[in-house]
Amino acid sequence: MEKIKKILVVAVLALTLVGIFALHVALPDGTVSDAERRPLAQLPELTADGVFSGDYFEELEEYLLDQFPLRESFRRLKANFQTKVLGLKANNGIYLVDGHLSKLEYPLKASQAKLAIDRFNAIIDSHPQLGKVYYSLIPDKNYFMAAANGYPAMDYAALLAQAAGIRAEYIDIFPLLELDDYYRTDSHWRQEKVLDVAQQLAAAMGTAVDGMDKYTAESRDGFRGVYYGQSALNLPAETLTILKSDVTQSAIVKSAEHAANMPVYNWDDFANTDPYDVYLSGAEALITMDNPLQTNGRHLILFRDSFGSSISPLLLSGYSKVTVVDIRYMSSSLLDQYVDFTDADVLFLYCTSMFNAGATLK
Amino acid sequence: MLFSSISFLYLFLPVLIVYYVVPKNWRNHVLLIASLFFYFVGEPVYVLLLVISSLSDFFHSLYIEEHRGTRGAKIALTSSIAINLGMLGFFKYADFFIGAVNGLLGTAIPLTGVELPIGISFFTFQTMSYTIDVYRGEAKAERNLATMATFVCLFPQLVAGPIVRYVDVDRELHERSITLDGLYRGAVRFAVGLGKKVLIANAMGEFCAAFRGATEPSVVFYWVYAAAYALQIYFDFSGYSDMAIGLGRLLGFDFPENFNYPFISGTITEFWRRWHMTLGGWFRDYLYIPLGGNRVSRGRWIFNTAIVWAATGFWHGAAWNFLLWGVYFGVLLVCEKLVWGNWLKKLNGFWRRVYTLPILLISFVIFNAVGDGLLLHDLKGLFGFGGLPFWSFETGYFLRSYAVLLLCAAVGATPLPKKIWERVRASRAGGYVGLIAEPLFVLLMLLIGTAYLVDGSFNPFLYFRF
Repeated sequence: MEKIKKILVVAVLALTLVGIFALHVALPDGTVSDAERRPLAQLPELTADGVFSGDYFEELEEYLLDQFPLRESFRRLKANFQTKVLGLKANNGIYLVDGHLSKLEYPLKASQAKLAIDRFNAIIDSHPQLGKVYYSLIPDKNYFMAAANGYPAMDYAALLAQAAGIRAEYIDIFPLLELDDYYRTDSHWRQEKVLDVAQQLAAAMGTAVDGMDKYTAESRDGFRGVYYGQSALNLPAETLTILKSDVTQSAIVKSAEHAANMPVYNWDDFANTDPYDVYLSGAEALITMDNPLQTNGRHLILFRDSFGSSISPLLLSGYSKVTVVDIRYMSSSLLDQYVDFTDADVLFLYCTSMFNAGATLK
Repeated sequence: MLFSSISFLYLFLPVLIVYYVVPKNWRNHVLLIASLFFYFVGEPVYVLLLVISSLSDFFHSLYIEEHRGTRGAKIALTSSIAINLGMLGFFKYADFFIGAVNGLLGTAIPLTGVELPIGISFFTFQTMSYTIDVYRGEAKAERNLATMATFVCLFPQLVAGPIVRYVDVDRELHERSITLDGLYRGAVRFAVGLGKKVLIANAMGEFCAAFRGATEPSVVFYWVYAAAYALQIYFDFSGYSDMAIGLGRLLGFDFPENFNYPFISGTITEFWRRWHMTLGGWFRDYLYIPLGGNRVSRGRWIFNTAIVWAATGFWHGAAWNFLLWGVYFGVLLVCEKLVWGNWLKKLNGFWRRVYTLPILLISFVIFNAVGDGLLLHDLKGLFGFGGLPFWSFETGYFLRSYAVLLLCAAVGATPLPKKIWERVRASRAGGYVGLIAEPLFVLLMLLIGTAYLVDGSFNPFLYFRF
C-alpha cells in the first residue's frame, strides 16, 4: 500500500504539471476577459532586446497567467477558498454582504475630494451667466453595507462637511436611497428605483418630472456588474431595467463624439464590456438631450459620473434641454466651446466614491 | 524565475522531464543548462556572474589542491575569496558605503546605481565554502568544469538557499539515483512549500501591506503586524526552502534542512539553532571558529560574537536596520550566555516562550523597518507612544478577517500538525488514510496554489533580496 501511495503522489504531481502544460499548448488563446472587463495578454514577440532586458519573460508570465487553462474556474476556486475556507472578509478588495457585492473604499482622501471641489468651484466661478447651481452626492454602496457589517468605510459625515465648500445649493438624496436601490453585482443604482431621487432633485431645482405612470419598464436578464468579475464569486445574474416614456423616445440625443444622433437607451450596448452602457451609451464626454415635448425653455447642465447616465433620462421631462457633461473625459477648459451656460441650471451629481479620485476630473 | 510562478510550474518543470529520460551521464549537463536558463530568466545579464564564479572557483580550487600547503595555495584562496567578496561587496554593499561616507563626510560621491543580482549572497557563500573546504582538505577539487558549474548554478537552491556546501552534494553530483521514495518525498515536500508560500506567506504579506496603509493604527494592530510579518518571513523562507529541498529530492539530491520550527524556541540561542540553519552553520564554520570560537578569553569571545552577528545582520541587507538586527541578536546571545542563561533554564517551557516570542517579534519589526525613521516609528507604535490607541475599528476588521489564517499560520509554525499526521499514519487505518490523503493533499496544494497565482498579484519572495 505504501508503494501505491508513493506512485499516486508522484503521478498526481507529474500529471498535473504536464497536463496543464499540454492544455496550455492545446487550447486556443482568448482575447478578452468578460469577467474582468479587460483584454487578455497575448504571446509576446521574441526579440533579443526583450530577452536581454528581461521584458520578454515578464510579458511571458503575464501571458501564461492570462491564458491559463480554466482560468475563470481557478479564480472562482481562489475566491471561494479565500472567503469560505480561510474566512477572509474580502477577495480582491470586494466583499459580499446579503447578496450584495461592493468594493472597500476607504479612507476618505480629503486631498482628492478637495481637487474635485476646487474643480467644481472653478467651473462655477468662471461662468457668472449661470442660473442656479446645485450639487448632490450619491452614497456609494459602502454607505449602506460597510460599517453596519464591520467593514471599514470612509467618513461620510466628513465628506459631506467638506463638500459644503462647493459654492452651490445642496440637495440631499441620502434618505431616499437604500441598498436594494443598487444592483447586487455592480456599483450602480437601478434606474427603476431612483425615480423618487429624480423627482426630489427636480423639485429642489424648481421643476417637476414625470411619475411612474408615464413610464414603461423594459428589462433584460443576464446583467453581471463590475464587481461580479472582480470578486470571481459565482453569483446569479441580474435583470437590468430601463424606463421608457414618450419623453425618452422622442428626445433628440447628440454626443460630441459622434456625428449621428443616438437613442437614450440602446440595448445593443448590453453586449458591451459594461452592460450599464445601455443608458446613454455609457462613457461619453458630452451629450445633449433636447426634449421637444417640454416647452418651458429651461436648460439643465448635469455634471456627472456614470450614475448620471441612468438618472438623466428621468430628469429630461422637466427641461427643454439637458446637457450631460463628464469632465473625466473632457477638459472643463473646453466647455465653453460646446455648452451655452446662459441662464442654465447646473447640477453637480457625483457618487461619494468619485470624491476619492478627484484627480480624474479635468 | 520564482518557484511560485506559472512559468516555473507549468513550463519549466514539465520541460525538465527531459532530465529523467536522458542517459545518466547527461543529467548534470541538462541540469546545468536548465539552471542557467532559470537564472537567465530573472537576470539575463548577471548570469555572467554565475559563469565567472564557477570558472573562478574551479581554477582556484584546482590550483590550491595542486599546491596544497604552499604559500601559493594561501594566495589562491585569498584571491578566490577576494573575487567572491568583491562581487558581493560591489553589487550589494557599494552604494550603502558610498551613502554612509557621503552622510558622514558631507561628500557627494555618486552612487553606482547597480541592481542587486538575485541570490548573490547565497551563491557567493556556497562557492566560497567550496574553495575553503578544498584548501582545508575537507573536499577534493572538482576536475570536471561542468560538474563544478552544476554545483554553483543548481537551480533549486541557487537564489534563496538552503546554502548547500559542496561536501553536502559531492557524492550526488557524481552518482545519484532517482528512486520512487525520493520522488515521493520530493513531491510532498514541494507541495508543502508551495502551500506555505502561496497560501500563508502571501496572505500574511497582504496583511502587512494593509497594516502599512491603515488609517487607524493601534497598539494591538502593531503587535499583530509584528506577528504577521514574522509568520510571513518564516513561511516565505521556509516554504522556499521546502520547495528547494523537494525539488532537490525530485532530482536525486539531498539538501540540508534550513528550518526546524524556530518559533517554539525557549531561548534566542535555541532560535538560531532552528532558524536559517545553513547560514548559521556557514558563519560558525567559516567565521566564528576561525576567529577562535568560544575557546578564547571572555573578552575575545564577546568580540568574536559581535563580529559574527554584525556579519549575519549585514548579510541580510545593506541597510542599518539589518546591522542593528544582527547586533540585537548578538547582544541577546551574549546576555543569555553570561547573564540570564541559568535563570532561563529554571523556567518551564511556557514561560521561556513568553520570554522568547516578544523578543523575536520586535526583531522582525527591526528587520522590516527599511527606510528613514520607520524603525523608531514602529517601535513607538508597539509600545503605544504618541497617544496611539490600544484598539481601533480597523484593527478589529483586519483581525477578524485574518483570524483563521493567523491561527493556521501560528499552529503551522509548530510541530503540532506534523505530530498529528504522524499519529494518524501510525494508527490502524493510517495506511488507507495516507493512500487517499497524501495524493489529495499534493493535488489540492497544486490546484489551490495555482488558483492563487492565477488570480493574485502579491507574490514576492522576500529572501531574493538577500
